[in-house]
Amino acid sequence: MSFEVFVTNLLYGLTIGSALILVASSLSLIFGVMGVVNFAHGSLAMLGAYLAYTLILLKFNFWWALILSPLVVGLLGLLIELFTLRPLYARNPLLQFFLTYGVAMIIANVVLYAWGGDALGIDKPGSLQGPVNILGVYYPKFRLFVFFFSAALALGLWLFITKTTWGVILRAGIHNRELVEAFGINMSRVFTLVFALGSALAAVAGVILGAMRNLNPVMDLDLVIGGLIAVVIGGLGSFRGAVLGALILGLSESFGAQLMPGFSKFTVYIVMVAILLWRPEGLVRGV
Amino acid sequence: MLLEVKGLCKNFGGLQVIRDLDFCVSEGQLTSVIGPNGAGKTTLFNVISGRFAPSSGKIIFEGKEISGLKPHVISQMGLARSFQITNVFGSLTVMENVLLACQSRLPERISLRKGSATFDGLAEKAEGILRRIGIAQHRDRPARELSHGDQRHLEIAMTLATDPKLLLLDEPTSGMSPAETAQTMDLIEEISRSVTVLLIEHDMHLVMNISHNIVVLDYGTKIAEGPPQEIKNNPEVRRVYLGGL
Amino acid sequence: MSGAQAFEYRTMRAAADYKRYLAVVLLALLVLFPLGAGTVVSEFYVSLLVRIFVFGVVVLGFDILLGYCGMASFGHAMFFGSGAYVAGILFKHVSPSIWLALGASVAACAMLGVLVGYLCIRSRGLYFIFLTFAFAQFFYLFFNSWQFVGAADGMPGIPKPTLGIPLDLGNRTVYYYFSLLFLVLAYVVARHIVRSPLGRALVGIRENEERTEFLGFNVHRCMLTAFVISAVYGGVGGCLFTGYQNFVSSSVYHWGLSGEILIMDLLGGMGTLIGPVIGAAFVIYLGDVLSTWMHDTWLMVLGAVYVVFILFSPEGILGLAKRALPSQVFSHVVRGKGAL
Repeated sequence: MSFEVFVTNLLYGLTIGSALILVASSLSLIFGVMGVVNFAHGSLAMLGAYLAYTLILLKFNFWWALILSPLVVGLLGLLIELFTLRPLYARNPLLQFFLTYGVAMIIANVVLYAWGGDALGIDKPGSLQGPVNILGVYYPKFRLFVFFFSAALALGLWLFITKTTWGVILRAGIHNRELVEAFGINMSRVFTLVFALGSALAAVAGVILGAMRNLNPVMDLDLVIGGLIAVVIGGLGSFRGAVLGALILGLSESFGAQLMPGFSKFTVYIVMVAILLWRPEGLVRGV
Repeated sequence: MLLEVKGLCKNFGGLQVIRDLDFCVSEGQLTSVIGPNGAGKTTLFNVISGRFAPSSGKIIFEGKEISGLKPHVISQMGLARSFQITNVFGSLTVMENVLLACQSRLPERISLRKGSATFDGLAEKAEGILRRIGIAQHRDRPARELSHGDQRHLEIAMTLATDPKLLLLDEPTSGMSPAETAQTMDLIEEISRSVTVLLIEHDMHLVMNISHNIVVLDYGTKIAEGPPQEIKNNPEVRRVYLGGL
Repeated sequence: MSGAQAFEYRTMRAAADYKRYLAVVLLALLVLFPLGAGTVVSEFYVSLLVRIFVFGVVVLGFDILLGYCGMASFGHAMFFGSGAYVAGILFKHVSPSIWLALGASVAACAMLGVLVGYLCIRSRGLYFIFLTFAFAQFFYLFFNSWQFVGAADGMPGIPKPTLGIPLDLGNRTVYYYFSLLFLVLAYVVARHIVRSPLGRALVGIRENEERTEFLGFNVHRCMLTAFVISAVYGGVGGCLFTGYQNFVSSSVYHWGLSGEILIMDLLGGMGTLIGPVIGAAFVIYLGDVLSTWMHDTWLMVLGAVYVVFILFSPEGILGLAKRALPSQVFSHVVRGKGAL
């Protein structure tokens, strides 16, 4: 493999990885705080992308769409948590997972119904179009933006969880809800907000990915599977792990496509099975 | 010697919970394991019953080494164990709980071929055990509806239903009222006449009254062993429990 | 009191008779149904019922795994699809004998069940879900690109299967009775399994796995057996499916199908055997009715119904009926906390 090819693959892998970082980190946030594996995460991201598409169609620019769409999806997430997840907290977590599967099914098909089955596109903002030169390789500016933007958001989220009081409350709540509530903090409300935040972040990921690639009604599966695998690789409950997992997944997909074309779709699942069988607790310990 | 524990060590990560433990359980005797919290008693039971494999050392039951074998294999060899935190089938009835325990002794216990008729003899046996333990009147109630004390008794009933040669009872009277504890004490004493019992208990009165032999653990190792009279007067034991009074 | 009665989990004699009556009536209706056919409308219903019978078989097996043993698999399409493809390949390239295809499907799925089951059963809960999902996806992706079977376009030109006796299995009505027979057979066998010692052990595992193991049951072997049983049922269903459709494509391995099977089980009532068959009937009927004007997006409605049931009646349709009718009627439904 020549240096150029290597760098291209590396950059591409990092880009896929960084798009996944947003999905994986918000998924990890929801799991870490609420103990819920949100199968609807991909559909929420997809909805975010399609909403942005419509907003842009209505003459909003990309940046406005990037702000408004997640707000709407965040609100939807709030409602979902309030009416469907909250009644199930005392029950088996598997039931919660099955519920999110049902929610995913509803959202995904609403998207299909409302926007149709053809692939759509979101125009990148003018300032981010065109290539940039990195180490002799020409790389699309927007993809670079995706990398830095996702990394920044993930970092912000990480700092929030680890350095702020609210973050500590979130992490304490999963271990001992009663104790936290004894301090006068309403955990139910916290859960609702976390789910809303997670949904909004998923929507951000969707918008960016939609602009980077395209919008299609089956993009939700790739997103949620990618997110789940990333979280599992890193270790369920570990935020840093989710980020690491996303990058690993992105790189393995990119290099996998290069070295074993035709098998690239399998790579994701091979990694998934390997981790689940040999190291289900993930690669990273701790938050 | 029905059970021999030789040089047993168990660590979890860096934490050594059991260190170099040696003791024996003689057939027909009731042996109690006592010690302060964190001494490693429940871990000892977990290792003996197969939930964990020893880090080093051996466990020999009826002359055969059982260290590291799976729990169901050890159970089939005649070693039954009750749990410190009640571990019954909460949503099934009391009768169903014991029937399932009885089923485990059938050679066709997980057979596909036999139908319901296999259980003809089981109902009698189950009823007998329920009566012996004293919870027969609850036979059709879901286990979780029973009082805490009765659930602990159900736990014991289930272990008995597996026809054990050695019965490991992990704090059978935990959470019981004094009346229930006295009742349980009589029950265990009655059981110990036909089954060898290894008992973990915190209730000293009970332990001193019914044990033939007592093993005292502290920080995962044995600090004393002997009949109740000896243990009562042992200065090491006093120090560990009472802090040097 | 005999053991059989004790172990009937409080089945009242009266309730048992009542249900037997109902079953006979229903069976009679189903048997007589196609004879009243001849109109275009009935033709549609015959086709609908065949699909219900086929999926009924699949979900029966799945219920033994989820409803009775408590193991949620998200990759059951793996077995349905394998049965379907084995049948398709054999019909087209070897022989149209339905018996050969059934035998081969059973063998293939049994082996697959052992292999995949052995790997997956070490994991529990969510991990088991992810693992079974991933394995099913392998099959989907593989068959989606394997040229020999037509890749994504599927394998056309599959001949109609033959019975080996002078009855034309290609005739819709004949196939109706054939698949109905298999559903009844599948149910009878499942019922036997569930009442056998293994069945009782599975319930124990579902209710409290640790306790069951410490009582002396080889939990691993029980779970693997349940997994293989469900795999075989799935394979038989897939084989019957191809026999009817005369066509097979990678959609038989699609993860959405795994999801639908799970939904059928939950909607009908997990751990009841009859429930999943009702669930299958409900989902397939609903799908047929709605997809004429909603096409694929009818799944939106299914998702909504599914969510509503999870929230308000996780014991499914049978659970609703149980609440509405006097308790004795449904006492055969094994109580216990259930899988979820």
